[in-house]
Amino acid sequence: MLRKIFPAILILCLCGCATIYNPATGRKEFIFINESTEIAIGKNVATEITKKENVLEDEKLQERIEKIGKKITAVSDRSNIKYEFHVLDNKELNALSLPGGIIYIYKGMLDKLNNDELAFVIGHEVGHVAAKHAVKTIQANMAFQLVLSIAFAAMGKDTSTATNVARATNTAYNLIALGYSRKDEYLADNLAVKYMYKAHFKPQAAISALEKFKTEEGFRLKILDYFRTHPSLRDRIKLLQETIPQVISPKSDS
Amino acid sequence: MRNKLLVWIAFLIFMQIISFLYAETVDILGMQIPLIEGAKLVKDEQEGSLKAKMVNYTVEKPLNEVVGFYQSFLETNGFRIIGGLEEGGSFNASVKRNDIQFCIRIYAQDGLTRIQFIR
Repeated sequence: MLRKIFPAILILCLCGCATIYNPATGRKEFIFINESTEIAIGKNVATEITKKENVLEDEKLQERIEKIGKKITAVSDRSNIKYEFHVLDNKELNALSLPGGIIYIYKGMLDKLNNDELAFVIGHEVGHVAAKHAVKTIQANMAFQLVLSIAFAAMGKDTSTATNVARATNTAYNLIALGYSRKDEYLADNLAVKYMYKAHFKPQAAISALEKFKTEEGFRLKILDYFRTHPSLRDRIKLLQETIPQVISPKSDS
Repeated sequence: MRNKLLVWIAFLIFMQIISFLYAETVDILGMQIPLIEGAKLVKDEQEGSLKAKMVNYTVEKPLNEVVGFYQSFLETNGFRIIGGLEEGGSFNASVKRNDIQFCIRIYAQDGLTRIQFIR
């Protein structure tokens, strides 16, 4: 019994230990690592992306996501960090965000979505970054020493632990690629709609984007499948239909 | 004689407790990290999550003095540092030297300066 409640007691004890308010989640949180370390982790995990996927160097596509990304990040709950947007040469409907603000959008998204719908996808990933979902996932599931190793490896050569770092980085990448909890996904959806509205995109496009994903659902079951790691699209659409009117109502204009 | 022995044992135990509370160093992965004079252990070492251990100290010294002490220690001892000074004068860094790596946070709370080591 005690073993079950002990983590809860520990969490309560930690509440006074320099927890920081996160505007994206609306809660005080204790993240062990500082922002610079988070960014370093993200940079190193990005190396795993480039091993598995091709980054597309297309000026037009890059300009498109950067233009939308800039508007979204400027109104986000974490506008102080430098976000990076990249297009991956993959026709799947997928997107991925890393600790510290590196965001990958699959080319499939750019082919199928209009700008407002893309703003939802980008806003969703920015929401994950603002809420620090990736770093919390890594922190909760990996040995703290390994997490630090990933960060320091990004600073420079550390050949004595190169193999361990590579394995740890791969583990961190897999944790992120497997996706987040339903609660985190719903929050990211809500944040996306909020950011879309503030950046003058049409929040209703969130629904049309998800409807487009729905037509693609079920064709692929790969580990990076956007749909498999996320809650059901029907549930997400239903929740957004309730959220969007609250976001765009006059009371939300403050 | 027996009473003298008991008093002596009690005194030794008392001194152990005091030295534990007011230790001059903290062991981080085998390295003895100095504690600024007057630092007092707040909580026993505990797990911040399943994967990290944390130990906290408080000291009745100004924040900038404690930050300066540890900045100097880290730089003098060749630690690589990610992070550092934050808004408001607090200090939050991930530090590494060879195989020794940990996080150190120094901030003001309830009129005292807190030093937190996470490993």
